[in-house]
Amino acid sequence: MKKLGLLFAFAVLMTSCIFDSDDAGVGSWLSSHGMPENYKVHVFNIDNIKPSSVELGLNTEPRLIDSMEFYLGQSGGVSYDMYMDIAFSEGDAFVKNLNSSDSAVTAVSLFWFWKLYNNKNFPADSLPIKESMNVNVSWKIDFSDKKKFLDSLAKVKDSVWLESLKDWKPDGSADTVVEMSFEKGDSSTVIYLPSALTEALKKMTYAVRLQLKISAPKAEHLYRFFGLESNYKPFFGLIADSSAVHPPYRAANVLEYDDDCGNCLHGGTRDSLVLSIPAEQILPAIQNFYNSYPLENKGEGYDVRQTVMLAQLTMARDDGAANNTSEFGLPIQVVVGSFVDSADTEIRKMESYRLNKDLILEDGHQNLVYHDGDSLSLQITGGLRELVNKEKDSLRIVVKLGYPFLQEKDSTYADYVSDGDTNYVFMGYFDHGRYDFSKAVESPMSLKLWMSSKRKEEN
Amino acid sequence: MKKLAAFLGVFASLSFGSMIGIDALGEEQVLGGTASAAGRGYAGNAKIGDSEGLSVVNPARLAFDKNVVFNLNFALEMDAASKNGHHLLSNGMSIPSFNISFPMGEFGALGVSLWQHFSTSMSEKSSGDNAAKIEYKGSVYELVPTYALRIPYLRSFSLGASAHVVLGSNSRSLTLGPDNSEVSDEDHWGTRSTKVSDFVDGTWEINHHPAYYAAALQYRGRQVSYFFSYTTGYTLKNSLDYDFRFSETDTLAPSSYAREISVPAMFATGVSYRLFKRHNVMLDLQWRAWDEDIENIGGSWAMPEITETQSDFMASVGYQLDGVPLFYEDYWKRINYRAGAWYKNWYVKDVFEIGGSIGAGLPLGRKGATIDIALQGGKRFSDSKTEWEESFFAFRIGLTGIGTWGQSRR
Repeated sequence: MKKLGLLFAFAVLMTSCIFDSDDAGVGSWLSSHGMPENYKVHVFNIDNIKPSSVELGLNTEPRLIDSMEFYLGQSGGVSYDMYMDIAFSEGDAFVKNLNSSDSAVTAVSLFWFWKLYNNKNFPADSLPIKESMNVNVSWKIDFSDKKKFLDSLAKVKDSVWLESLKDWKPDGSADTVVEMSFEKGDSSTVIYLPSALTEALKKMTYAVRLQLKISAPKAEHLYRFFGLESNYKPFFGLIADSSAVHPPYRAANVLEYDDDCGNCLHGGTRDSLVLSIPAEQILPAIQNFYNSYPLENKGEGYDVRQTVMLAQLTMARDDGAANNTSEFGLPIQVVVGSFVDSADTEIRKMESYRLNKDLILEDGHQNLVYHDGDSLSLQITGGLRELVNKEKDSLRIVVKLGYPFLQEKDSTYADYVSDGDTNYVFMGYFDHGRYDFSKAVESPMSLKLWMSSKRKEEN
Repeated sequence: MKKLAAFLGVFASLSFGSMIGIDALGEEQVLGGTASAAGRGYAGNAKIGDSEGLSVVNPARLAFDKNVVFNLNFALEMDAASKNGHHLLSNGMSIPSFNISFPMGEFGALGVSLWQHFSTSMSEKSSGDNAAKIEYKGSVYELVPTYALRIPYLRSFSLGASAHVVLGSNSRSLTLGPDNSEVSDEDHWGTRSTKVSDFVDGTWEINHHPAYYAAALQYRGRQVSYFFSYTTGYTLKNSLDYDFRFSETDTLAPSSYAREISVPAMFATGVSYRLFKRHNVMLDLQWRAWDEDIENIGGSWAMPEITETQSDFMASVGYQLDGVPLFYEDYWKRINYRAGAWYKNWYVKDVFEIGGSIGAGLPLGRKGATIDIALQGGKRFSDSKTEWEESFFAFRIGLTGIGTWGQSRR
């Protein structure tokens, strides 16, 4: 067998010496079989794009607060109401102290979300904040004399509780004014609760469940506090008695919109603008460019003649619109997704972002609002591919506000470590400002396409 | 069946290196590619011995086998393609067939073969920053159950029949970088370093039928043996999914298509003549008249839609000096020595092949186990615009085990 192996090795060696592939061999072989070595790229613009519909989507679903920031106040016409679910029993020190004092005052303590306020990118001139804030406190109380009451509360699923907040009817309510005063270095603030609530709690027999809502829809600011999964969780208790405090076992924010701007997106919410662009504004232009439709029917499907490598929609931008507000004064990233078919349904798929490094280094990213320039460019490659390759009736894209942008001329588009230090490109905390896209959606847009062709005549 | 498909999937990566007909069916592995037949120039389907084993062209021969034969074949092939001063060297390894047969005395003989009938294999990358990459992989496998029986009262004659159940898969991937020559410099960023793959993969089966069939008549004489066989025509169905890939996870929705390839009936005959004691000469012929062109797997860019066909014909001559069967004889005398040559018209129009080979059957131990080896070389000539000429060199090894299961001691 050794001899056979040697023989074969010798044969391979001999063959390799006699024949060898030359550098152009593969290219020449491809050519003789009608295949190119590259795909031909064509770039062209389709102007005067106008959406046939623009829908503003507001997501007012209650959202559970765990490690997230816990908001109170208002920004850009959106108010954030706090909900807390608290429970305790008679044996607790709180109850004994409450019943032993006629002048007991209950309160909620909230810890400032210093991670944001101490952030070097938080605008220093925003502090100190002072405001006499009109606050409405409302509550629901459930008493029980059964030992298993608290256990039964633990079995209430978060999702059920969140659903109940949509139709939350309080047992009592009172307005109050809270003097908000916050400057750098402060750690917490206290919201005194109405005496009616305190009195109501004295009627407890064995155990109590207190659901508390605090809202300040006319506040001048949106205040951020630590959520539950932190060392700085909010708590309910008696003033001047730190012996027994009760953090809520769950908490939520519910958003209330008082904003009639139909094309405004609010940062940090889940707002979205859904733009529908009819296919007849796009497909005929591609067909005209190639003198044929990019698909050719074949078998049970089609053969691709051309396909979209990159699609970029450029729209007008007016950062000075009257409705616009910004908390941090930083550029804000605009993210975009497209509706695509998936498993017999339609899903929203966020678009990837290809970097035009030369332009970014010179003029910054072009998918930002609140920065230099008067246009906004969004890459919608996936959506265009879907439109072209499935011959859909319309292109539907969804636009949302993303994170504040710290380095608009950094072409990494991601936080990165350099020389041992983390280089933050995004701020990491949402700016809850508002941006009016009216000019963007009402002005003609321009669509730029990078197409690849796999046809002989374009090759 | 899934296990078999997985098994075939492993061996599908072991395929031949010829690039001729790669968009059609690929390279045909004639006669199951057995190393013993290859050593004598693919002649000798009529040759009768105690343990010749299964022939996919002549199922009747099996009736004369006296031993259980287990046979596994390996092939290594190097192809040097050239055209207009350009060269392309490729090589591949394959397992062209695996055969097992059981003689059952008066009840005839049964056998089964797993045959890689057609195969495609290529993986090449061009030079440069935006290098193109072309990959073909594919095998048309056939599972061939065979039955043969010596005719009562005419025991010099035998009849044999086999069914060929087709399965297998194939794929082609062409990966390209951008050509921005018609794009302004400021727009190059849009596709810079962005590769796309025109990808297609599919499966093989026979259209509307479970198998195609072969039948043969064999005569064994004292000096001369011959056979005639007829293999039915059939339509191969290649169900394909075309896909345009931007990355592994980002693709266009696949488009399905099925190409149908009408493979014509084949006639084959052969004669084996014993000159002197242990000296044999053999001549084999096979012929298949293609009357329809083959739709290609590709069909993009400027690729031809079809591969034109021609009558597929093969003539082979061979010689074998049978080794002495006595284990105590000198080892060199126990070896089977083989030589042969062939001419073959490919099914691809304007392509023909001339080749020669030498081989040997090396006995292992006393019980008849053998290692067959064959060295082959030759050239494939092409007047086609598409196909390149190829020089090839192949080395084949066949492992043959002999048993006497179920045979009465004599």
